[in-house]
Amino acid sequence: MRLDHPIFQGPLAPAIEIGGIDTPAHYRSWHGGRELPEKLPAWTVQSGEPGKSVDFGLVSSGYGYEDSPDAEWISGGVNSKGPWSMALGRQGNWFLWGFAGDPTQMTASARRVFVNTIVWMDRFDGRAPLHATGRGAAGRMSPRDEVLNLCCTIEKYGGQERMQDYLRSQLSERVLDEFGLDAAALSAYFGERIEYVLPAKSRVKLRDHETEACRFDVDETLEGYRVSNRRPEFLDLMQRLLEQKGAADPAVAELTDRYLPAEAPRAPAQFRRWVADRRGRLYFSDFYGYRWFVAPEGLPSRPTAGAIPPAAPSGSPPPSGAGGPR
Amino acid sequence: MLALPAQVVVAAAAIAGTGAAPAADGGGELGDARALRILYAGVPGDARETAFVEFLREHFESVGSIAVEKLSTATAAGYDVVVADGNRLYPMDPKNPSIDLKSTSLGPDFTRPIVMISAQGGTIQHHTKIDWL
Repeated sequence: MRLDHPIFQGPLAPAIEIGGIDTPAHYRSWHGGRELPEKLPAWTVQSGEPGKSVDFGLVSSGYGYEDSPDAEWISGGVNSKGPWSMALGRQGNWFLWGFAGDPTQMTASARRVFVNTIVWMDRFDGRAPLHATGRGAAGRMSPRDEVLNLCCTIEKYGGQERMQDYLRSQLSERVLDEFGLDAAALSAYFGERIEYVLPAKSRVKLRDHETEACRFDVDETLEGYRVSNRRPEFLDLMQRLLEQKGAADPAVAELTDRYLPAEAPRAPAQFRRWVADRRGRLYFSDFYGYRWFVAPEGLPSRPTAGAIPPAAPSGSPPPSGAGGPR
Repeated sequence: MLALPAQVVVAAAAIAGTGAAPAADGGGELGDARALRILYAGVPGDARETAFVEFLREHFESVGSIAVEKLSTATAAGYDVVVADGNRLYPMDPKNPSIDLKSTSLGPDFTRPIVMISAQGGTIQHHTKIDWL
């Protein structure tokens, strides 16, 4: 919960009281969940018994949520998924208030935060999300933090035959050949290479049907350079490679085509100017295809920064704006 | 596979790494924000509509109400912020559980600020990162 977010500040001062709740037991099975404290600080949003006097709400995945500058993760909530699931958050002109209680069920502070949220959202009129496709669309990819969670799932369910087809479908054939479903080995492998993660989509055959799966792998070329695909150092690497080897070099072309916008010049002098002119607007998104993009000018910046609470998964994307060159 | 909504009862707050606590209750006025025109899109005649509209009218000078199935760029014109709600889903019939939420389908061309309540977040739109988990 980002208490410094404007919706928790005003215009109506909500006087949020923080209590403590037992950390839900199922949070422990998520990546990083074992490191959570016994109790989590919590703010009560609504009254009622979930599923009876008040509906269950909705949370959205927190993984990769902020890898585009138009999205902000504001708060989680106790839920049946995990500790980084998002209950309050925005993308573009769309705000999720994940709690189902109506105002008669909201606490006094929640009613104030709800009003503050409406006032906050007014500034996003006309500010559609930067990309117009959602999770199920072609080209959308599983953010890299999910591979660390996948390892936890493999640890828990990898011994169950009925789960193995699905779990195997989330990893590339190369990775499977090397590690199989060895959760510890996979966790170590991807944990050490989180900055080079690069999945690919392919059709996979599960027990009784075929489906498209996002299969996690590592970009071994970038691993060789020890350069992250999502941090500004990648752009510096591309500059060097374009100068030293040229855009026609097959290895260089593979990197430019895979990661850079099509409109980015490939001639080194023009590329340097192109990057410099867009400093601060370049961002890398796992969700939208493990590629670099250019945000439009004048995009409102996020009012908060830093890792998503309570403790971000390792390898989470850098704070807002840090994905671009400095 | 249909994903049932997650149980959300409280917001887990992270103390570490957050900013200063907000000022004491009783403070703050909406000021010019009272003039924001709010459109509640829900289920006409439903208790939730009554609760939301009455509450919103305590704070904003202009509050309209519409059936959520009729929400569109055209019907939201003339309003500044939309609150998209729906009917209660629980308690569910254990013999026939379903998520039969009154809704509509809004695409990327809907650019009015919209606060989606609970299950509407994953129902009324499918083009953002916000979705059922």
